[in-house]
Amino acid sequence: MDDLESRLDTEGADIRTRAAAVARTEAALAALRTATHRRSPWMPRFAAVAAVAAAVVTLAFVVRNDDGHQSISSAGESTFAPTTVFSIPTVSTAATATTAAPTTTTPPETTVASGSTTEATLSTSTPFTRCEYTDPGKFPITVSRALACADGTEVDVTGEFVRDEDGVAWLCDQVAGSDEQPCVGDGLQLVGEPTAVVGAYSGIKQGNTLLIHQPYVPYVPSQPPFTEVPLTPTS
Amino acid sequence: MRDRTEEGFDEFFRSCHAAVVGVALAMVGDTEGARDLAQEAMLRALRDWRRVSRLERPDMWVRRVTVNLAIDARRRLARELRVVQRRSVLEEAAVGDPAVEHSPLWQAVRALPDRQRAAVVLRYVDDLSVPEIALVLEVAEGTIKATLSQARSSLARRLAEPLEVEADG
Repeated sequence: MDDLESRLDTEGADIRTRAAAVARTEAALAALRTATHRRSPWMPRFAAVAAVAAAVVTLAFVVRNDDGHQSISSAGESTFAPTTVFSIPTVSTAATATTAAPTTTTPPETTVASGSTTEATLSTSTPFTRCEYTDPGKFPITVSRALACADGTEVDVTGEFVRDEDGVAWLCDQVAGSDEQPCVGDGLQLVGEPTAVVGAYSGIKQGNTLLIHQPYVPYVPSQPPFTEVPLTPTS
Repeated sequence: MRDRTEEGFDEFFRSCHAAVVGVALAMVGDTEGARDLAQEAMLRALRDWRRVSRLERPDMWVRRVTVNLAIDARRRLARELRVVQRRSVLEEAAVGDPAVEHSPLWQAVRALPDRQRAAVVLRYVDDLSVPEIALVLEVAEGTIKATLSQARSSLARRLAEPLEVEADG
């Protein structure tokens, strides 16, 4: 371990040195000023970034319906058409998940559900909370972002399941919109077989349910901690 | 004449830019990508400079943005390539800085879960203290210590058996 620490220190310092060369701060500033003609060197580039950001936001625009039900629509797909539920077991029962009534025929290994909307039930002992962080201890990997942190009940998150030596955890770290205010949850954690899928989901939380819209949702239905069941269509 | 809302930004840029590039470089292993991420992080700092400049540690704020951007970029890449399961595909797809990309150590670092990866990068590349890392990642110091410990254990294991992760699927 000491050797590892030493390597990290040494190679980390190497990257620092390399980064300093890459940065070339003065040149970077000068280039920005040149690119922006006269005054603020930042605004044109900022405008370009803002345009891109606006496009991204448009792609994942959160629509809130009048009845309080929330859905996520994206460019080219204005309807909310859930097709699948991923029922995620509780921490204590994660390893016992089974596959039930898949809505589509799935190959034995990996499946990509293209263009579908899914719903994941977050069966966690602690409800997902926002703007507060309580370290659950086992998985410190539950950072997420949200558009706003007003009422403590809704959160727009993007995350992924990743495997760790301790199991499977849900990562949420997508910035939604331009708000940099962090929202952190302590309930979105799973324990399961370390071989479980790495997936990426984007959605909005409603109670203990994460409504997900993701053009490409990779999952392995045959492996825990996922249980695939048909989603009851919403009106 | 500089806009008053940008007052102090140049100095901030000069003091942080290289460090931000370093964090980005270690996170993504790609020089051009790191440059872009650093640029975007700085742009975000400028965009909110009036607010950011009043923060106690704007330098930590911009690092946090960089870490999140790096994680997002990695995820976008995964989506673009329709990567399903294997992190190794991500590594292969990146056009990287040779010294960072091909280093077994940093390959292993980039295979860590996001927060472990960020903590390692901030600790060993950015040379931040545990309290500073906690500030960047917005978690308790104890969590950072635990995260770093987990990361080191994972790294030691992965470096000892580099093919283990790839061979189990």
